[in-house]
Amino acid sequence: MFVTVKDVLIDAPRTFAGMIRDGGLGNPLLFLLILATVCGWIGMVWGFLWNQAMGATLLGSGAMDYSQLGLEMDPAMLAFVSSGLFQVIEALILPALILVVFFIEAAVFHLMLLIMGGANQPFETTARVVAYATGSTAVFQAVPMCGGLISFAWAIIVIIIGLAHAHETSVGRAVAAVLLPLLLCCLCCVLVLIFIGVGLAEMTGGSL
Amino acid sequence: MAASETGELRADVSPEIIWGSVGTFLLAGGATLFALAPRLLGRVTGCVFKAGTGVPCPSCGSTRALESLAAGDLVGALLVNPLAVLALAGGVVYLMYAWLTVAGLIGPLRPGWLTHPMPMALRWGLPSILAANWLYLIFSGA
Repeated sequence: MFVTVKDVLIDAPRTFAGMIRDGGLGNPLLFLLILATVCGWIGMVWGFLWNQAMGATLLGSGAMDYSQLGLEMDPAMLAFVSSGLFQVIEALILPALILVVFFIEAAVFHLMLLIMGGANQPFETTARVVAYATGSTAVFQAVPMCGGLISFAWAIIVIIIGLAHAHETSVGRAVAAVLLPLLLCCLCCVLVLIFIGVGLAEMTGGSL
Repeated sequence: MAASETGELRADVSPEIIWGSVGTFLLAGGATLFALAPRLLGRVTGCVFKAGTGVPCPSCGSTRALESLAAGDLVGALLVNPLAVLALAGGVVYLMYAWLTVAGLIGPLRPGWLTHPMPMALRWGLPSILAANWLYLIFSGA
């Protein structure tokens, strides 16, 4: 498992070019579930500690104007989301969430490859690439603060390289297949970050 | 699950079981949200994309379409976001098919047009439908 993680992170082109394309989903799913769940739990602990430190003072105090985000947050709902009980529920359903998100993600990437004319292998190959890439990069989620961001960015790069090599298609098609669906999501995330930044700047009188 | 010649664990699971499970999980999750925290759905009122750009996103109106469907207003739901309603209908039909197939009541369907390479009509058709729906949302002021 650790050799696979190292190979995927350090030498993705060679790893995915030599990957068995029709080896089934058993090993990749097990690989993804173990790494993403364990590292996800560690990341959740960091997130919970961060929320306790920052959320209670800024977000949970009602000082943040969520209407700027187009959201009308109920204080009771916000308190529940910030509570330990919610974290425990989230931790328990995390493996199921990982599986569901994985299948949807793989399906979207494969559909995009089909549309781009870059799918030269069956869905199984796409799913294996996504599972090994996501599982390997999940180790960064154990890093406090910026781990999730590093994991996300590295996963995108590795998936692009993996799809290009495993499907024997051009990098351009792989980039389009992965980035186009993420474009709208990313745009929304960027807008949320901008609004939160503006909100924090207003709260602190522009001293941030 | 069994070991293959290469030592890999093989999970020969049919697509109906995989996508039926994913669909059932999403359905159960949505139903749980409706049952346990109805106010959450009522409180998330805006779209961040629309709030930031002034232009509706491709999925804008999906929640309102769901509310219209729940109230039995099919036409109203279609007017709010036609593609979301059609996609939901397609998802429900597929879920029923998957359950019936897993139960062994009907045989699995393996349409040739869904394999690679995808026919040119579908390759252009799917993005065109998405774009047409988005244009409709923009010009209808959804």
